[in-house]
Amino acid sequence: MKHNFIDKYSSLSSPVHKIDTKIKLVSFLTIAIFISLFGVSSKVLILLLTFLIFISQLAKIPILFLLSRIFVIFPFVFLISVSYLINKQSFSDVLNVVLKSYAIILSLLILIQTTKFSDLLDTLKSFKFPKFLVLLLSFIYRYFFVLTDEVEKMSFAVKLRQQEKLSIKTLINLFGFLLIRSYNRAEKINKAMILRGWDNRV
Amino acid sequence: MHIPDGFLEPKVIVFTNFVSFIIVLLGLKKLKNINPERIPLMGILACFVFVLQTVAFPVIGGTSVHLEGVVLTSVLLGPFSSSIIVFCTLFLQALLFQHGGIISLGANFLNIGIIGSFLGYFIWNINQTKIFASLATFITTIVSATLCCFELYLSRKIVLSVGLPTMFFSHLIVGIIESIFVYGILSFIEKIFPHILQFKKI
Repeated sequence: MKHNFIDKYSSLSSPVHKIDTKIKLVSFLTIAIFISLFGVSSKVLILLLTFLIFISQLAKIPILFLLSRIFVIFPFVFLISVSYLINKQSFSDVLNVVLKSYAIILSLLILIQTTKFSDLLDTLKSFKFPKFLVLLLSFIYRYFFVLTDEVEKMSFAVKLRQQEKLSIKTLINLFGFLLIRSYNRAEKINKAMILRGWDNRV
Repeated sequence: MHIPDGFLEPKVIVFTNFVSFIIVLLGLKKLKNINPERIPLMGILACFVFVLQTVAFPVIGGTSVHLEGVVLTSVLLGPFSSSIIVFCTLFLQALLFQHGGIISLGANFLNIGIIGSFLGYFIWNINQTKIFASLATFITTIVSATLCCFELYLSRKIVLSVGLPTMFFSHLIVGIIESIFVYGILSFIEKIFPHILQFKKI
C-alpha cells in the first residue's frame, strides 16, 4: 500500500523546498490572480512557463510528472476548440487559454510538491483562513490514507471471495460499508480527542 | 465537471467567488455552536466523500467521470454542513490533483457544492425517501452541468449549440450512475445501520 502518492516530492531537499512557505504561497497566488484577471499574451506566458520549468528542475521534480498533469484540462480544450472552429476564431486564442491554464497548474504543482502539507495548513491558518476549514482539511488529509487502505482491503477481500471485476452492486455495498466504518471511526476519534484534552473548540 | 483555471473571464470569476464566499461564511456561522461530537463526524465524512471522488469511471473519448457524493452528505447532515464539507473536498481536489482550479474554485463550488447541497436538500425534503434522494442527485447533476456550461458561455469560451448538448449527454450518464449509487448506499445503510440517518440536519 503506497502512502505518499499525493505529494510524493514534498520530502525531497532542494533550494526551492527551503524557501519559506509564506513566500511560495503569496507568489503562487499573485501569479494565478494576475493570469486569470488580466489578459496576458502568449509570448509572456511562454517566458513564464520556461521560468517555472527551470524552477521545477531546481526542485528536482521529474518533468514527465509535470507534463502528465496537463491531461486534466483536455476535455475543456476539446470543447472550446470545437466552439472556436464554429465561430471561426483563430487557433492562437485556444493556445493562449491552454498556456494560461497550464501556467497556473504548473505553479500550483511547484507549490504543492515542494511544501509539506502540514506546513501549508499552518501558513493558511496564519493568513486568517477559517480554523474550522483548516481542521476539516487536516482531517481529510490524515484519514484519506486510512480510508483508502480500507477500500483496498475490502476490494481485495471481495476479489478473493468471488470474481475478478467489481460489479456496481458490490461497489455500492463496499462504499456503504465504508460509510458505516467511518462513522464508527469518528466515534473513536472523538473519544481519543477528548482524552487528549481537546477543549471542544475549533 | 470541474472547470480548470484560465478558462473563465474576470467578471465570472469575481461573481462566483463572491457568492461562494458568502455561502461559506454563512455556513461557518451556522456551524459555530454545534455539538462537538459532530466535528470528527464531519471530518471523517469529508474524507469519505474525498475517497468516493477518487473512484473514476472511464467514459468514451479517454476522459473519466467520478462521483461527487454531495447529495449523500446533504441528506445525512443537512445543507450547510454539506456545503462546507464539499468546499473542503473541492479545495483539496484542486490543490492535490489539479481537478478544477484555485481561482475557479468559486465557480466549481457554486456548480457542485451549493447546487448539490441546497437544491438537493430541498428536493429530498419534499418527501424524505430514498427515491427522492436519488431523484435529487439526478436533477442536481444536470443543473450543475448546465450552470457550468453557462459560465463557460459567459466567458465567451464555448458556443451553446456545441457545449450544451455535450455537457448534457455526458452528465446524463453521470447522473444515472450517481443516482443508482445514492439509492444503493442509502438502502444499504437503512438495512444495516439506520441511526446514521438520524443526525440533526444543519
